[in-house]
Amino acid sequence: MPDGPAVVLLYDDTFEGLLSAVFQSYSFHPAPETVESGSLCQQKLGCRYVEAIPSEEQAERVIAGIRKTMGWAAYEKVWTAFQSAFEDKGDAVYQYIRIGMRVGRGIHQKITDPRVMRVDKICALVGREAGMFRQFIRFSKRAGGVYYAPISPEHQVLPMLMPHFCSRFSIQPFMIHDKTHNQAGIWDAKDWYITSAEGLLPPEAAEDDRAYQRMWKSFYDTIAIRERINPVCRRNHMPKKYWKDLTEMQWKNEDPYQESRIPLPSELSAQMVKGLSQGGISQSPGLGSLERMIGEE
Amino acid sequence: MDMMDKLRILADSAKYDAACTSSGVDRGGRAGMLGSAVGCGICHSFAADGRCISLLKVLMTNSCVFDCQYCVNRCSNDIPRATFTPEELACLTMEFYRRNYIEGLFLSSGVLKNPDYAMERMCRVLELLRHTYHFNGYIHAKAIPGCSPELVDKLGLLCDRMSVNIELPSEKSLTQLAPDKKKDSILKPMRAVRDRISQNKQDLAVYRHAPAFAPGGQSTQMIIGATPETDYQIMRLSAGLYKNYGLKRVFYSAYIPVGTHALLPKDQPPPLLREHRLYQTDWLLRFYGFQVEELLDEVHPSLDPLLDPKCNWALNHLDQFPVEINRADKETLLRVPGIGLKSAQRILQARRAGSLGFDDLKKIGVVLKRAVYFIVCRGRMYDGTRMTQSFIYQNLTADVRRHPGDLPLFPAVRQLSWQDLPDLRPGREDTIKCLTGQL
Ligand code: SF4
Repeated sequence: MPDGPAVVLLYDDTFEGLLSAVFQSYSFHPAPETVESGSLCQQKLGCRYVEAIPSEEQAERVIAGIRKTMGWAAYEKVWTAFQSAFEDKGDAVYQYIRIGMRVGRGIHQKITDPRVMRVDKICALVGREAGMFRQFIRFSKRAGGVYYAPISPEHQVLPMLMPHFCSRFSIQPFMIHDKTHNQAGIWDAKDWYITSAEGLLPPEAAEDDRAYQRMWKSFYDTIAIRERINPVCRRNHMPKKYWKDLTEMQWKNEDPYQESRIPLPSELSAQMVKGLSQGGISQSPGLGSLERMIGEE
Repeated sequence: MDMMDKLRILADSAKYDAACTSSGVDRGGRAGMLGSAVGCGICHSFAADGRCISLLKVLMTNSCVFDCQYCVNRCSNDIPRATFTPEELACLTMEFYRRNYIEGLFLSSGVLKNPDYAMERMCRVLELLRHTYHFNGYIHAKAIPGCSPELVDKLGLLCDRMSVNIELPSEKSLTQLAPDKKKDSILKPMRAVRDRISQNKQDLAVYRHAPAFAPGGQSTQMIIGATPETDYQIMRLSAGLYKNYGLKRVFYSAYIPVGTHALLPKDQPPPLLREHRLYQTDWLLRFYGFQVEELLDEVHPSLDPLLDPKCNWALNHLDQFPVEINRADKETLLRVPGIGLKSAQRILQARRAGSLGFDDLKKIGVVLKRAVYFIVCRGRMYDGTRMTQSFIYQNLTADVRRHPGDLPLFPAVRQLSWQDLPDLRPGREDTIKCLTGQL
């Protein structure tokens, strides 16, 4: 079909569907301009839209092709890019595979090619977010001994988090609740799986949990060296968007314990502490929490 | 005293230790055990001072019979004291670990009664963790100067990393400020750890299941700015420690005025920028193939506050530049300011697919702002740059010189020392990096 309108392939938002679309793109000459998500795509005039038919067999052949021609690392990139939340990820993956199939393993040296850079960038962002959650996930102990952690990631990082935490907490059942994508990753101390979190009600908090949360918060506040306070550095390493679910960043001002814990032990003499504990520790002067001392960032 | 109070007192007493890294050991989960370790370490939080919190960093006790003048816990200091029982501390570590607050435990201790007694209690905590709680996460333990070698041995088999703190960068300062510590009481356990680690490597080669002795290696820390040692002396000491003691890391900790001794500085902000420059220099020694003598010497014993040590070196060795990006070998690339380990690697990778221009370098992640003065791409320099010291110096320090005019300009600046610039603050870039943290 020479010189007809540019073809746009639509895929059905699944990984299998996207790879099938890539497969089917090879039957068009010239090659389709792009691959877009069928549900997000706003059709424009002057393009011909063709829905790709999802096929398990075709997807598997594409996967095998990528692994053989471009190498395992390339397949991993394709998969990771697909976990991202970018609307044009279909196009990114499509362009990447098309040139990869032509240049083979040389793709890994073409790090300044815009199509390769685009996929690298997406993967880096997804990987970065997964890394952040490896650091900043906070579990709380729930009734029945299950550990529960809510997260709100931008990208679908659950499949990247589960292996890490399952290996680490091998004898401890837990659940990571991805509120953005409404999914839950569950580890029952034997297998893990990801399931829809529709109607998920996490069990009640275990009795002793609050005590450990407070101890952690107290440790966190104590360990900072006042003479070195550096909000910029903290925010850089621990961006504010993660604070919402961080145990140590909660109860800034409303926790009564906060008021009482203000003078650090090293600022008190042993004599003063004796006096304090006799008078009840909550009576000590409220100097304002460390947070307030730094000022609202 | 309840756990909350103990935790506060013992964390407060431990906070001046710079090391909080959990790196150096890669160990997946094991059946029936709880925990794993990741080679590059994981920071779980960042405190208000921007430092990483990776491990539960506490003292076993802050009661101490020694009287080191630079330390809050010295026996002559009037502060509240507390002591964890081994059970309390082991249980707390597990509870924190289960909630993903921490990577593990960083345990040190004041000298309760005598060094051996304190060490035994530390060993007890580690035994509980490893054997009773089946804890497979990261443990960093600090051996106490003057303890017996058997206990060093015992501790090393239970932990991932061991450290003995050098504390002050010279024997003279140590004698003056730490009357109970002798140079030898610090170096002896360090040597013991070194020898055990290398012996363990041989054992492991013969017998794969030999118990591992401190697989994460050995580290140490010294306090900066409490005593008059120069950067040159400090870095020479570090280089010696890396070379002769096989250390994994040397940590530098800007002195916070907690002591009252006449020889210690008072009411002076901690020398953070200097600490940062020392870390940068340390990095150059370990990963960039530099020798101390290339960066500092008797005549220039202080690092430049305005310029990072690599830029400074390059500026003083313009005869070795410019470097052709498309031909230079890795060692040469690594010496170019603005090119780090990663970008050097990526340059080598990318130029196999075709020759590189300045645009490509930017995409690769080279910091062109610093690199342009020192490189050529396909034989051409970047437009508008001149290879003269004063031109480059002016440009490189443009954003650090808050008050131009106040500062002596090149070339006198090479002789500046920290005393001349008492309240110079780190530039923005230096502030946000804060090297102590993650690395
Ligand atoms: S032995 Fe350790 S805890 Fe005790 S005073 Fe000296 S440095 Fe401080």
